[in-house]
Amino acid sequence: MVEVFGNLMFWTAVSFLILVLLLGRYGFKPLAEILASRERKIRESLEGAENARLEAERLLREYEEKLAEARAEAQKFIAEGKSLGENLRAEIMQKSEEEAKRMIAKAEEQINRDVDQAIKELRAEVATLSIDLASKVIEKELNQNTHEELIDKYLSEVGRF
Amino acid sequence: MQQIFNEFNLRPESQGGHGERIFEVINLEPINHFIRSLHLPIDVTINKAVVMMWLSAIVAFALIYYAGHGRGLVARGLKNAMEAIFQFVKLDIVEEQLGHAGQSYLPFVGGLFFFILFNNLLGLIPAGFSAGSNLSVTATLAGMVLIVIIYTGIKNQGPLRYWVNLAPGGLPKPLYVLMYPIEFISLLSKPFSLAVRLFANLLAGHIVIFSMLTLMFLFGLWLAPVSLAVATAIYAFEIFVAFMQAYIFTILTSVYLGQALHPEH
Repeated sequence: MVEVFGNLMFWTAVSFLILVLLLGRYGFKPLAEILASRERKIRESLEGAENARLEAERLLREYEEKLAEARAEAQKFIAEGKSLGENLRAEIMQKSEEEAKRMIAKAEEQINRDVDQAIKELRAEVATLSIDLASKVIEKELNQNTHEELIDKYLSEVGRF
Repeated sequence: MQQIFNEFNLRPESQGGHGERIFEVINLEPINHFIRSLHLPIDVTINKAVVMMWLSAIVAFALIYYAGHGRGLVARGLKNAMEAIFQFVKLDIVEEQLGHAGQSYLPFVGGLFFFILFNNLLGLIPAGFSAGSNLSVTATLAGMVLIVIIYTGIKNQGPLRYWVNLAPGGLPKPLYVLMYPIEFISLLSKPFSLAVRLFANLLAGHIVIFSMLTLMFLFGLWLAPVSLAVATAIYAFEIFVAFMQAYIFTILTSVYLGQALHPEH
């Protein structure tokens, strides 16, 4: 019932086998390689992107750390500067106080010396004046040495004024 | 069967009969006359089915070669389509059934897929002819599948063990008298079903389209819109069938090869 076509069978076998040979040798390999290389490339790209992301995250963390460090350092510097200024102020205050005290003391000393000097000069003046006066009153030349007692008495009386 | 062929004039052109032409242009008779004059032991005359087979093999190879060559990492259009089909054959048919050991079967199984696919598709072109709608063609393909299955089994399990493993182990001994003939018939029925399925599906498609178009001549031209609409729908369905049958033929081949590779499954 079913007719068998020998020529069709022959040519089916021949053309199919030639196709299989050609495909196996020249057809499928380059195609498979193209697909494999594309797959590789995509995978590499994805991995590269992932690596870049991780790297960026790492850098960000590093920068944040550095920023925090810098901030802490700045705080430290400010605090140091503050304390330094404080110390300097205290020192200057102390120094100026001492200086003032020293100057006051010096001035007091000077005043005292001046007063003493003045007293001394005054005393000499008063002595000569008293002698002059006394000699005028007594009208008699008195020897300074012998009437020292008298002069002192007189002077003390003068000092009371 | 022969009557159906003759009835719808779907019979493959006679074996180089006189006045044999393809596409109403090329006369094959001089070539066949020369071939016959060689007095070869087998009939190698050519007809329309043979030429369509050559064409499908050439188109299949050309498209795959085109997809595998040329510049550009990103494929577009036809190249992309060929890549997708190739990837489907490689991953979902060959590697799915045969694993990575199936790499060496890729040319055979992939060749089957593309050969059948383009045979089917070329048959859908007007004035074309599906070589697959002839049982001699599908039977030859199925016969080669059978040879490869037996060769694979013998190569992987040894010449004796393959035949022993045909029947499952662990049965009572007398049962094997029954089992071996059954398993042997089962082995032969695999290519038989492959051949008949492909041939019948393609022939059926052609017959249905032809019948639909014939309706309007039988019942009058007023039926033409219905007739054409249904024929067009069936035609579209035939494109799907072309892919489907190529897939079924190849996936079953892969399954049978997988059984020959790993008898324990």
